[in-house]
Amino acid sequence: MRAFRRVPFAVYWLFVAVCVAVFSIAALAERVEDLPKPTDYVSDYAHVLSPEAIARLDKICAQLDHSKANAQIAVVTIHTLNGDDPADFATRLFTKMKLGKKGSDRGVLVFLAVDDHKRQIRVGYGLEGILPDGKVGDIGRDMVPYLRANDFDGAVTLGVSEVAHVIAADANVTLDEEELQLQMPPPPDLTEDKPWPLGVKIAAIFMSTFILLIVISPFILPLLIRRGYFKRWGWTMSSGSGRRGGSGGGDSGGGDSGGDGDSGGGDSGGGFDGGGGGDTGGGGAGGDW
Amino acid sequence: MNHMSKGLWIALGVVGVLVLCVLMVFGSYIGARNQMVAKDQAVKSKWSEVDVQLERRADLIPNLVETVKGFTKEESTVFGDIANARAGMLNAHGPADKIAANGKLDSAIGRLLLLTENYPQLRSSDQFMRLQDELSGTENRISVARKRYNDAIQEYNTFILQFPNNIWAGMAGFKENTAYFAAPESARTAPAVKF
Repeated sequence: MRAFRRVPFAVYWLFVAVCVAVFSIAALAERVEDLPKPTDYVSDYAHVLSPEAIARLDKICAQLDHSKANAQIAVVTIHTLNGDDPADFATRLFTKMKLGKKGSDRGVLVFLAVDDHKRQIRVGYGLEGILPDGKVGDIGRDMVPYLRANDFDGAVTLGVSEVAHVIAADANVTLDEEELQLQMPPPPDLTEDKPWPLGVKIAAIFMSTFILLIVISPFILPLLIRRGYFKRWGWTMSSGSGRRGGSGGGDSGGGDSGGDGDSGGGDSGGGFDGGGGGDTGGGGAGGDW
Repeated sequence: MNHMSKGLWIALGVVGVLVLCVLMVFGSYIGARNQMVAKDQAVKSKWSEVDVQLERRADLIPNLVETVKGFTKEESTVFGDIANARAGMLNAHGPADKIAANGKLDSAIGRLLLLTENYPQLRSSDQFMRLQDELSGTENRISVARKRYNDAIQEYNTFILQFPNNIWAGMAGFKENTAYFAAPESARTAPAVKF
């Protein structure tokens, strides 16, 4: 009997260990090999961009991708490089994402490692001619005031639109200026200390509560179970039998929200459908902020 | 009559098996040799990419030196060293020589950049910053090309050292390629571009 009682605890701790392992993998996932396959021009893994900015960037990128400019720009933000060389990381990321079409290699990667304060713009083989390192460096330096003020929306929008302008001018494509004449705020006041966005705050509170629950539950749960709080689900402690008896009753049946979710407005001529097989030789520039 | 024909059949069978064996061995040799040629060519083409980038960097140097000289207005042995290192680089032939010459050029560039640290005005000039971009961009390109080159060598070596390819490689005259391009020590420490 005693042995039987111990088993659920072992199982429980195993579960906790698995949870912790999964979480830590998720937290350390910022190696090039582990980053998920991008599904959009913007992969904001560091969660520093607003949905509006992402939508705006997507439109700019889609215009270049689906026109005769034939170039793929992608934006990736991560938290930390874990000590990796930024240029090397961004280059490997570029090769993994295969930006630009195979053969023409017209791709650009705008990359930020937010916690490390590292910025990189990587340029594919096919665009090295119109985006030489010096010019790309200038664009990156233009982003710095925004980055220093933690205005990531402004920084990335500026960087991407400058790159987009160069490519569009070279290909004789006119970009939808409405999207590009973004309401660029003036370079923000550097002394201002921007607080965390609301979403991040909520997520942080939620996460810490969750972790706390996981940690304290092995002490609290048995107590509650003994007192019979979960009797109606068949969770009891004194008699070993019927522990799992009531499973299956909890399916709440709600929530199946059908298909009318987000169809919304007109499809703007195709989004990101994966990298086209392009390659980079390591061109581009980067630096700190 | 019957007896003789039986012997003939056995002999024919033995010859047939032998011929088959020889054909298979020959086929294996031809196949392996063709792959060695392909992999050897891959190494050469990857090297030429490295070579292009090494020369590209050497070409940046006169411009860089002029810019620095314009600001510093002082004589330094660094300028002579870097000119020599560059000449050595341009005169080197073949991967091994060029890799060695490139190491010297690395350290000379490192010292030149060290010199510039006393000149904040120079470092904040647009011209110098763009040159720095080009220089570090070229270094990135070298490191990408170097990695692809080393990978190609490794693939070639792994192929020719495996059995039975090692036998065929010996017969066809393919040797292990040891001209790996190791990342220079200075690349990790010296010209880290900071603004």
